Amino acid sequence: MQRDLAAKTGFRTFMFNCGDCLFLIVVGVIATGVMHMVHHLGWHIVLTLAVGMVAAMFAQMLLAHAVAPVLGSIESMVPSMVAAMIIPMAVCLLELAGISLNNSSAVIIGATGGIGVFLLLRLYAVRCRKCFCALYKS
Amino acid sequence: MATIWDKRARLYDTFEASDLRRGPAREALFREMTGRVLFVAVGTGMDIKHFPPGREIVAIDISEEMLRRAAPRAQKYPGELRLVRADALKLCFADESFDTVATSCTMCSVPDPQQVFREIYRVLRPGGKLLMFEHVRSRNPVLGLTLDLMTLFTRRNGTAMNRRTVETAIAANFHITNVEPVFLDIILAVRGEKLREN
Repeated sequence: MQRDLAAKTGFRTFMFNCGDCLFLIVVGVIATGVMHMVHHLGWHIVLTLAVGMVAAMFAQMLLAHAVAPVLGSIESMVPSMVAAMIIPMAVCLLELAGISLNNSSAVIIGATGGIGVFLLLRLYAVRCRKCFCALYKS
Repeated sequence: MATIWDKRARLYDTFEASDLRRGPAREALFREMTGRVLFVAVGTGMDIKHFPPGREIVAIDISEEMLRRAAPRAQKYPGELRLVRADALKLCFADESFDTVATSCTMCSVPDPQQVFREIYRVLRPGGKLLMFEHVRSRNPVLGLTLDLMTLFTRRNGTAMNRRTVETAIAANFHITNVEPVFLDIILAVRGEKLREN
């Protein structure tokens, strides 16, 4: 009985982790794609950064609301906001360094960034659990 | 305040309750309800299915619309569950009249959490349990800043994403016995008690 419950919990956690990871990949790709497209307009870098960031965040908000009924409102909104703020910066940094990206490179950067944010959050989740366990030994 | 929640009641279950993900953690927390229970801010009653059967529960909310939506769920509860329209800032119950006080995403939504804790402390009997399923500000600087940023937008709808609820509970003289992270250090299942005076 208890083994069944543990297996069920484990499966749930695994499925939600897969969902979170996939969602962050999508957010990373779209946010990076949006920033990449704005860079193609050839505006001043400050304007490009501002418009690109606002557009990426808007896309992220729409995506987060779409998946909220399944992945959870806070669980989808907070990590994706971090992803949409940080990952597109890579495009700006590379453009500033004089490296012009093509579409597939932007997609790869976005996807890798999404996986990176997911892994960092998983590590932080483990740290939080250990920290709270140490603080509140029952 | 009630008007905001009357409006939000319509889409609350779909976009905000997040029951699919948080349901088991809520159930595990509320399983510890004992004696006469006060549930503060029941909303549309999404939490009712996670209440253990056979309890005597008074569930309050400030919004008439939320309570209207909670009513069919309350009727299905296998125990005694009474819905009451009440303000968490000024509870209409006698001192030390409950054995357990439970909340679920309540402290982010009240205008003055310190006052709500004072009221909970008043109505809870010494030795009584405090069970909270709450989202709080993360200790991580990046996540904390993100929650601060989100609060700029969500505050208009009556929700603050960056409250330090555990610290506020401690400041209100509650003894926190266990904090279980449900999602990072943002969504927490908090167990506490009102200590008996010596």
